[in-house]
Amino acid sequence: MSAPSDSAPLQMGEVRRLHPLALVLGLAKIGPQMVNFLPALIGIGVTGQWYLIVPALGLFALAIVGYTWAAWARFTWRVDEDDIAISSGIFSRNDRTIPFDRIQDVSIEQGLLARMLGLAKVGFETGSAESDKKDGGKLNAIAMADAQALREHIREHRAGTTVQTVAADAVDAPPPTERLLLAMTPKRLVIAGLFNFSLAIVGILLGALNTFDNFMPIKPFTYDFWLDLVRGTALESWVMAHRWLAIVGGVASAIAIGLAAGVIRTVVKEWGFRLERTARGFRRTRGLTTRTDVTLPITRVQAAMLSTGVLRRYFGWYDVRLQSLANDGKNEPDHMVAPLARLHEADAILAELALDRAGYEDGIDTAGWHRSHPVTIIFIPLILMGASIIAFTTITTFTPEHLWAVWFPALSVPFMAMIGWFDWRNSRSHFDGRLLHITKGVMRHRHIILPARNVQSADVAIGPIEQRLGLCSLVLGVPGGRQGQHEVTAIPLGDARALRTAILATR
Amino acid sequence: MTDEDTLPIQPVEPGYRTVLRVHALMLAAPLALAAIVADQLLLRKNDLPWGFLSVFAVLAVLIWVVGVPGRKYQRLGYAMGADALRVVRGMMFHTDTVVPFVRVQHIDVGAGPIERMAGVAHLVVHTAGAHNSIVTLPGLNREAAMAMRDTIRAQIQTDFA
Repeated sequence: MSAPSDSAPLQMGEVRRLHPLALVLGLAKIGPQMVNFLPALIGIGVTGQWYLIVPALGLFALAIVGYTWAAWARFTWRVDEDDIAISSGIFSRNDRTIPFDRIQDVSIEQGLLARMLGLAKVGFETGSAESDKKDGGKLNAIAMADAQALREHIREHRAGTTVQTVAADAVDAPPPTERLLLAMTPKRLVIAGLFNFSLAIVGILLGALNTFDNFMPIKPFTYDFWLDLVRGTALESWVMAHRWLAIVGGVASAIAIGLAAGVIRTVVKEWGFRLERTARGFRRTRGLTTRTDVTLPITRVQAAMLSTGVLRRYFGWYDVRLQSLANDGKNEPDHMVAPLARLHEADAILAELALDRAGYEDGIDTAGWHRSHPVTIIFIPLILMGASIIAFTTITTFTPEHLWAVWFPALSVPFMAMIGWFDWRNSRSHFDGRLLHITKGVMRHRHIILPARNVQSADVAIGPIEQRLGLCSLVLGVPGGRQGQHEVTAIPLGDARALRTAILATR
Repeated sequence: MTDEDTLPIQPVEPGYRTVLRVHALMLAAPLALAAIVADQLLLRKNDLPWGFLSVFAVLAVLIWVVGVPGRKYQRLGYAMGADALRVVRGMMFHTDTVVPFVRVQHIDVGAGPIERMAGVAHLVVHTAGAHNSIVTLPGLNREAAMAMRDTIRAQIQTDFA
């Protein structure tokens, strides 16, 4: 194994180590590693055997040096015609192969010390997020010249193979004109805000009112507040006669505050919302205080979600989100492309992605769609029932005076069964040969439109209850989103297998 | 695409059962030891009914180390199709995963110290995305794992478009 020199050109098939100066970088970590020495130090301190401290420290330093050296000696990398192979691990060995065709980007990173030593850390970004976390797929310290040569090599390879795809895109792509797909008028923003009624804020408010007496200048839950309001008017005697009005007034104020909070939040977030179709994808601008301008290439979109609520559906309003490889901010994995839209507006956005709803929501006959087994209705209620039985026996044995507490889980059983029933009614799936449609949800109804070619892996998962009924769930790995997967639950095993074969056969 | 469901499921190397047992033993032995020590020192010294805890601990270790890994090993299998890898595993919760080769991002072949002693290695295929993107097939003969890696590797091209 030859020691790498600083300026040697990249040799195909040559097994190489990291730069020997990587050892220096490794040893620089001794400082932080001293934390691990603390327990030993405490041990020495407690036993009072201070004469041990020098040998112990020496041993510790030696162990780190040995570890650093072993890690270096056991780490090799090799660049081949169209992939890079990295072997690492002292005891637990790992050989990674990263095809150039899968490398989206090569990152070169230099810390302060590395810069002084002329070293660089090279990372390879593939579509898999895991590669970032472990160092198994990184070259921690190679000569800067090598790093640049490597990046050039990979880029050349990519350039050679991607010419075709670019050409294919150019043929399919619509003429590069910017078209407005959706703009939110202030009026529509207010409507969207009303649907965004925040129960959480109402809860927090009520809690705060209860705890802090002077939290608000007005006290809508006290009788005196309402009496003062009407004092001197004709209503005074009427209010005085009906003390319960304080409760009604309080609840009404809370709802008004909740609605106002929803409207304010939505207006601040979505002010001036515009969604445009550009040559390569979507461009979204929005925001009152923080104005954001996000570009979302069509090729990065993995799936679309059309959602609505019980009330929103009644009034014919929907929202559209796109699942993409990138996240839309910290808490939102999916890109909102239509906060509040009519079905035909949503359809126009979906059409840009060559997606459609397969007639769902148009009142079509969904008899041909797959449906979850009704056992899903009683699944959660059964668990709750078990819990309440356990609670009942425990409480009657130990503290019979608290038996009333059993009512909470017991009463939630029929409630959850009702929710489960609605959920089951809304859970459907349908594969039309190109798109997989999954609908689900009660309060928040979702319709997921997933192109089969974006499915990365497919699990047929069978739990203990499902096994007895010959059922299973089909779990499809799809990049991006909160979970990175979409699921068709509780369908017959045979159906799931056939569906999986059909989905994976799609190109 | 061939139908992966029809391919015969192959078992993995028996060495993997040993790996599972050693792992289980490393986890269970200290717990069992603690139970036995507690039985002798706490229960016996204080004239409480002793002995049951020790017997229970030994039985639990036997089931945990001999029984469970055997079942786990039995339920693990794989099939290499023409264009996809299928991995089947799990006792209570059974999972049957299919990964098309063209969806693989990068591939690992690895072996820990215990695996090396038992003469097995594991193959890991990474697909795109953050979650559910790692499919591991343990208990392969090292040469077989490398051969599978090369097979999958050969199928990866830029047909991502």
